[in-house]
Amino acid sequence: MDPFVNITLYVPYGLVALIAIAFVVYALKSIL
Amino acid sequence: MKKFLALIPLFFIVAGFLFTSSVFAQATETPVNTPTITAPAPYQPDINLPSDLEFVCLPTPQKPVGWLTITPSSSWELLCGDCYADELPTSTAKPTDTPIPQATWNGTGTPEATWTATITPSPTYTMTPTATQVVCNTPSGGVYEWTYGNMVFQNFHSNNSSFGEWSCNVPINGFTDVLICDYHAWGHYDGSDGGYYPYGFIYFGGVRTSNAIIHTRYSVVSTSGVLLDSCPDGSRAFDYVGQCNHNVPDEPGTAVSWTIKYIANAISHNWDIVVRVEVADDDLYQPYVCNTPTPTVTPEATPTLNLSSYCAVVSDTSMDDSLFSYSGIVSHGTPSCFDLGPSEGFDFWGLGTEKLFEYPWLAHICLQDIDIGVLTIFGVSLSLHIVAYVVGIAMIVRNMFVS
Repeated sequence: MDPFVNITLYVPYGLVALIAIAFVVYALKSIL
Repeated sequence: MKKFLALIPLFFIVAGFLFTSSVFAQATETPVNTPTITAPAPYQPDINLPSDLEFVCLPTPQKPVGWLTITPSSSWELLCGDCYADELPTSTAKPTDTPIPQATWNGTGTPEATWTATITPSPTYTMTPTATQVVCNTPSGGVYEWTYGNMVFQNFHSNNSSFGEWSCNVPINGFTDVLICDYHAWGHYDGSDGGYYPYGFIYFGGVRTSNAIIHTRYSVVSTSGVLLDSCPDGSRAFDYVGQCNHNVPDEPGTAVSWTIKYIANAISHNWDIVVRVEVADDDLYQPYVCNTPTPTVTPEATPTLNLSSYCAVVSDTSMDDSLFSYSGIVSHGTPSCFDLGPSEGFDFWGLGTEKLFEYPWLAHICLQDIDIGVLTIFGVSLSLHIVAYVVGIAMIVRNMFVS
């Protein structure tokens, strides 16, 4: 049985991690 | 809020990378690592060669591969040169000189150097069939025979002679009717002789009657109907052999046709006759069994420059004539995959009547790390990945220290 969705997402891991760090920095700055 | 809005463009950039990378995913290929080959250090016989070795030549030293065609290296000459002192080549074999045609300078202006391909193509020509190239088959000699009633018509022919056709009327009453037969033949004069001399003879076989009278008349006409030659009628009784020397234009390839008319007034009740015609000039008639050759077209060879000759040096430097190029998205590593489902559900250890959280196999999702590629502008390569890192870090720093 095949899945309904069979996809491959091509993600630049480094850039995604950089975006995550940017959001964390933004959140910390907002809190502090 | 303003700071959050500042991050919105960055979010769209990343979302754009995800989307475009998915689109171009099928077009990318896994790069193949090119092995790095390090050239060995140049051989220095003064440094690398031990000085305490003694070399002994074999009684009959064999010629090395490439003897007289390859310049021996300095190390080979140092090690093995004494063994071939008598016949050691002092220079490499000189390639055969091939004259290269040069353009003629007319004396004005500056002459320009020209070069010619070292391989001269062999020109081929398309064969155009002409009338003289018609290939005619030569039938073998033999006798063609057919009958009409009691009459037997035989068409004798020897090699290279033409075939003919009989055309006879149908005698109804043997006593009174006249048998008229036309033997029509045609040929192709090959010009091997000054003329041709077809002749024929007719005789009545079978039951001969003394009253049989045969009239013959020869005529030779061209294909256009022009009467070339003729012979007067002759009348004979029995085994008449008529011969007529024809004089036709001595032009090879002249197509002629000739007709022998036989008129037989035989007093016989049964017409038991044999009419025979023989065309017997072997080398003057070419039968019209011809095949027109089919022209074959061969593409002409394209001149090429031979770079594999002895002294040719092939440069391994290639000019990248693309000022603008994009390497495309490059994948790194193997994809990480995970599945969603299927789930058989949970019935709370048999307490429930129906299973909850039951769903089929939902998805098979893989994540593949990619590099967004290298952009080349005017020969300068710019890694878009590095640019994205720099921009992202700059935004983070700005977000931290700029209010």
